[in-house]
Amino acid sequence: MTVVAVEDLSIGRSPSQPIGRSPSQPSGRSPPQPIVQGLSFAVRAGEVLGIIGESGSGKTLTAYAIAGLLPAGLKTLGGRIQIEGRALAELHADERRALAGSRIGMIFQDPLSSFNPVRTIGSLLIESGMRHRRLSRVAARRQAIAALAAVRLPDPATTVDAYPHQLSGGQRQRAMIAVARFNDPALLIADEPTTALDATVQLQILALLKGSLASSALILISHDLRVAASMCDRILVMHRGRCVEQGDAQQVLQTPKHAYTQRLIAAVETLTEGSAPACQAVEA
Amino acid sequence: MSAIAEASAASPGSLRSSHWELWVGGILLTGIVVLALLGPGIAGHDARFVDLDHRFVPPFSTGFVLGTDQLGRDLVARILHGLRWSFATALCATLLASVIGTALGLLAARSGSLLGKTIRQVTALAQSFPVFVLAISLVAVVGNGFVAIAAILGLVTWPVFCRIVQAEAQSLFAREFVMAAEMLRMSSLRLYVRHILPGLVASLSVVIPFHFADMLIAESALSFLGIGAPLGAATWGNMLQESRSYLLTAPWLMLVPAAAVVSLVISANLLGDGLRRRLA
Amino acid sequence: MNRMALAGLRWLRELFLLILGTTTALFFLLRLTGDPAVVLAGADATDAQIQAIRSEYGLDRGLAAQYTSYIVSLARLDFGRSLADGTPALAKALTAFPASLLLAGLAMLTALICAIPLGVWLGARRGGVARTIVRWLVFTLQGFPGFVVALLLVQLFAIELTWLPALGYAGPASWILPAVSVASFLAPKLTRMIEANVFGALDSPYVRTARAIGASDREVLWHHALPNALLGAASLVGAQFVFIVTGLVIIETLFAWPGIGWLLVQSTTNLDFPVVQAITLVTVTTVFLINSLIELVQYRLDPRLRRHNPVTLEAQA
Repeated sequence: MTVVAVEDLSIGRSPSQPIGRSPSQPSGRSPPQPIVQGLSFAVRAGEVLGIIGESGSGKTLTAYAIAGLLPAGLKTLGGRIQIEGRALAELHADERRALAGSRIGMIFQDPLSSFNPVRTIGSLLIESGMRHRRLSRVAARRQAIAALAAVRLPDPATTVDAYPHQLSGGQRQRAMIAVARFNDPALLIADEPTTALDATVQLQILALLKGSLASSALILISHDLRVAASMCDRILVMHRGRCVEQGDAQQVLQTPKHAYTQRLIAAVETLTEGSAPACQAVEA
Repeated sequence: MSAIAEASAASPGSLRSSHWELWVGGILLTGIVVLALLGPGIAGHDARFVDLDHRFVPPFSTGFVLGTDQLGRDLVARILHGLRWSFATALCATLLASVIGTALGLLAARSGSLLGKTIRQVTALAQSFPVFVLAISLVAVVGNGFVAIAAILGLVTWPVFCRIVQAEAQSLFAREFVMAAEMLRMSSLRLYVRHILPGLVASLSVVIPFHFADMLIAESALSFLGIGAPLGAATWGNMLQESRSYLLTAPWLMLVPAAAVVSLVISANLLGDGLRRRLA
Repeated sequence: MNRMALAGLRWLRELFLLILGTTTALFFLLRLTGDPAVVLAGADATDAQIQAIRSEYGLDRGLAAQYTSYIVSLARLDFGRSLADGTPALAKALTAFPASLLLAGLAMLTALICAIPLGVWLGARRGGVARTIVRWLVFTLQGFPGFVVALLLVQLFAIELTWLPALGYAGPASWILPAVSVASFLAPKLTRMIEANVFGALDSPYVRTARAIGASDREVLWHHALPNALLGAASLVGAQFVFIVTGLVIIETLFAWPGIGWLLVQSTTNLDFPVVQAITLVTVTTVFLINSLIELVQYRLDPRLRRHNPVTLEAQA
């Protein structure tokens, strides 16, 4: 079943709110280039789509557009996004907000700054449970402890009352995954989930992600081809806001058709001294 | 810069271009400086000339644009005289504090030395120290008068600059280009002048207008309390103090110097704000 | 427990250094212009009076001896006697203290009541044109020195409208204008600080996480941004407290409010140095104590500061 379908998506500055421009500019100017243009893809339940590209290619913005997290000043200029068959554009603002955290779960890049330093880890889980599943605070707390145990955080009953600075980077990212998965979302989006972590920890987090899939779809955003290679069923390569290549992961990696993709792969091969991109199966 | 970072970067409510404040503040201050330089002479009357036939003339009267006070003295002349005094005092105090503070801040940024540690400790303690009280005590002992007040105000407020310079210098010292210069055995003086000072200019430029405004307020306050400029001298603080007896009958005696103080302070604040947006 | 004891000792050391530094500064202050006996005796003292002062205060001995006896007498809380009326200087200062405390408390309360809601509203970025206007009003008000505000308030409410008294210390009606005037020293700056903190908090990554779990704008502001923003502002607020003292000195004099600031100005005009000295020390100590209190409160409230009790989770990242 298709969980998310994106058709001809464009994202750019909203025309009524030019950022950082003085009002002295004549308003007859043509609008600037959209940051993301003509993007189309779909992800099915249980599938992992990797969106690969360098910084500034627009991959994070795409994720934000799906999750409804575009910052003020940016908006979807054209195209459609459908979540479980429902077009986002046709939804009320409140309905869209109800999707976030219940049908869509988001994992951010930097787990330290993504947690509120003056609130406990558990508070986020409890808030999510009370809001989307109408749990009582006591029940939500129980579920929160269970969720932390499910991501293999030690001593969940204590961790639920811990503050972010008391955990290590890897532990925080596990907690972030717990938050994203809490209400069993149909779609998980992970934005560079391992970039801020040590190499040893990265594999464990990726394994955790892969293992949490069950029937959810996962969009994994990364600039690291090796991460994509180890995890993804399909890969989409973005360059300057456009999709340059899309298809089955093995095919894209071994027989890339677009010049940019070829350059990306070549760069990784140089680093790993000629060995083919490792397609290691990650132990769940 | 990523697209997201650019889109989210919006300083508080800067709906208009940052140049606005800079230009308005700058122009206002320049105009005020010109007035100060021209001096009371342009008023057509002497600031100290007592004219008992023309006491309490309200503003906008012929011959006396801003009116006269309880002794018939022309307010325009007195305001201009006060402008010179306040402006000069505040400027000297700011310069003094900035020179001392910068020097000490640079010394304090050098972690190792005992001197550095001492300065840091003093600066930290000075943060919760009511400097105005100290200034008053100093005036009690040293006396009032232009040099005394300017010196005192400068001498008690150097920690403001010291703190800022210390923080900036510390981060500058830790940066690679400075380490490279040190490895090349560049002489200390050259190191400071060519590499460190330019890095400080931005933060100093922002602090100076605000500090100037604070000195202005402090000087007026001292005069207002009767501890500042000698009594009878035409300073804004004195004028405000004298006006208190006539609030019912001649409110302009208070409003005119009040407007003068506020205008100068706001101009300085505008300049400071504009610089901060531009340079931060 | 050990850590607390260490922190306590460090605090005591700071307090000690502060007092020692202030008293030493005052000691040399008096000797700045040459003959402290002349300053202490007053403007029109006769030579005989000056000589009497000199021997009473031991000013004819060597500097080291003077300093030692000075410190010793201060340790005994003997600040000498007021030159105006002979009462012990410290007692005189302490008598005036409660009135100042009252005014300072009222002023701080007034400033916070104005600054926090206003700062939050401005920082939350709603309100369009009204917000811009209010921001400029706050900026303009920051350009009004406190005594100008006081004079204008007196002009309006006491002289023109005669709603409130222009002077004195009798009953709550007389508290309003002085408290508002002292508050005006702080309120604009506090408002802008809180605004900046709230504005920054709304842009932070953890707010994005909150939105990712479906929090509404209102929930984001109240449950996620504000706890952070206000905690951050608390230390800034504490640092501003010292400016209340400046306000007290000026405003008390303006309103003939019988507090420590008014006494300071009077004593300075009369060159009553022992009292000036006593007031300086009392003020410095009080500000230090209040700042320490604010730090303590912060320590209790801000989890980040309580780093010494990490959850001992095993290193199974």
